Amino acid sequence: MIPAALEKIDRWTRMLLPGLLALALLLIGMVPIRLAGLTPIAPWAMLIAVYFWTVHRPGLLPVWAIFCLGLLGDLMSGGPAGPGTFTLLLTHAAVKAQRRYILPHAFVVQWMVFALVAVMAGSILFLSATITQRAILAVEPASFQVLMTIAVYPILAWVFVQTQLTFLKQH
Amino acid sequence: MQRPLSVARLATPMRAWAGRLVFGLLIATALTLMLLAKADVAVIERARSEIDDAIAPLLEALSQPVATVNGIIDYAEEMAALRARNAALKTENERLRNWQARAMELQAENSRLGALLNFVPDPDARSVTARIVGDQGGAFARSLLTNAGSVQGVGRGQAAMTGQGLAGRVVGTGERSARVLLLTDINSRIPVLVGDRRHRAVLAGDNSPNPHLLYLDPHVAIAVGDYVVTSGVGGVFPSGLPIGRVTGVKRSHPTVRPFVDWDRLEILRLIDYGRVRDSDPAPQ
Repeated sequence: MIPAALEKIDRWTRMLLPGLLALALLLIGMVPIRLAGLTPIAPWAMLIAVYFWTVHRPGLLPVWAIFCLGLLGDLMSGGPAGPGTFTLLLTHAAVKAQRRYILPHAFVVQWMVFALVAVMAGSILFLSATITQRAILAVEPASFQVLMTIAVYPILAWVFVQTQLTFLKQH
Repeated sequence: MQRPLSVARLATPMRAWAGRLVFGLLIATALTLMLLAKADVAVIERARSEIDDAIAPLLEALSQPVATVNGIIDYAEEMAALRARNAALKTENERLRNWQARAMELQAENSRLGALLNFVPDPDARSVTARIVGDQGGAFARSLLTNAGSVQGVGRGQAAMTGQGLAGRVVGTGERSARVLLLTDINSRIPVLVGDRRHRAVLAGDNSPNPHLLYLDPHVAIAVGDYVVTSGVGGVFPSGLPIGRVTGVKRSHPTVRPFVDWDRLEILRLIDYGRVRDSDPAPQ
């Protein structure tokens, strides 16, 4: 009885791990760091999480979890709710449709595909934020954010791969 | 899509349809939220402050190591420049003492003249000092999360000041957290007075570090270096809070460099001037 219950808890924790990891990244991203002008161009860790898990283990970061994380991120940013959520959901759908073409490739190719995805997601986010705010937003911080996100991808992907190897070995 | 999954999909088309339905519903929800974003929906604002309340203590704990590292850096810098700093501070202290005397003189004169004119003074301000625990925002917004909330007496509309000047205003409060919209945010509009002649304008943020002036009378002349202070129009802030100086022109609008040092924000004073009360009826 008890081992069965423990196994259940264990399985649940493993299931929730990608989501919890993404949540932790969201919080860490909000800690005030005294580096000039970093906040506006801080990388969008959620996009990396959504791309990575949708390609590698789509079952572990399901669409409702992406919705919750996106909405949380939107609300925590102090900006309008919706644009980030919308963009992450679309990214998930697009990547999921193409995952069998992405998955077999080497890391560098996956990174290049991510760069493409990030540029598209950045554009969708910019457009939806512009529509939502009903104001002309500056393009520069948004473009820098995309570049930062692409640059940071290998580091976070490494963290996710380690998580996968350590905790999520069995399917 | 993996093979076993596509088999499952054929076997249970219902499940695939359910998946699509959920996705469609979630997308529709996100779109609805985007449409409602400008409407200040109570439920969304409520959810926001609940989330702020929940994450403020977490962020405070997370920011401790960062604060320690910042402290060590500051300590090292200060130790290196101790002697020079001391001399500079002595000179500055002298200068400030002169100013203090001058200020007291002026205050006495001001209250004398005020009494002469039966001037109604602004009510006394009450302030709460709060630490910044969250650097919110991103590419499209400029706001901060502080660790004081309605329990400490923080309310919507209060001014967020540093020692240097106005930083923004409180736009949302939880019990133990408050969100401050910085005056650089694209949604920030503050009625101001410019220069010695006190020309009226509105300071509008655009997400860049230097906001710009709107609705300035085209016939008035303002110069680089002119002071910008709050005007008190609209009744949110009192008149005369320091904001910054005019620095130049961007797309035919004068830009203002705020006095606040955005990179070194750690503590904010949230000041209640008694102007805005959530329970007050809307002014006619």
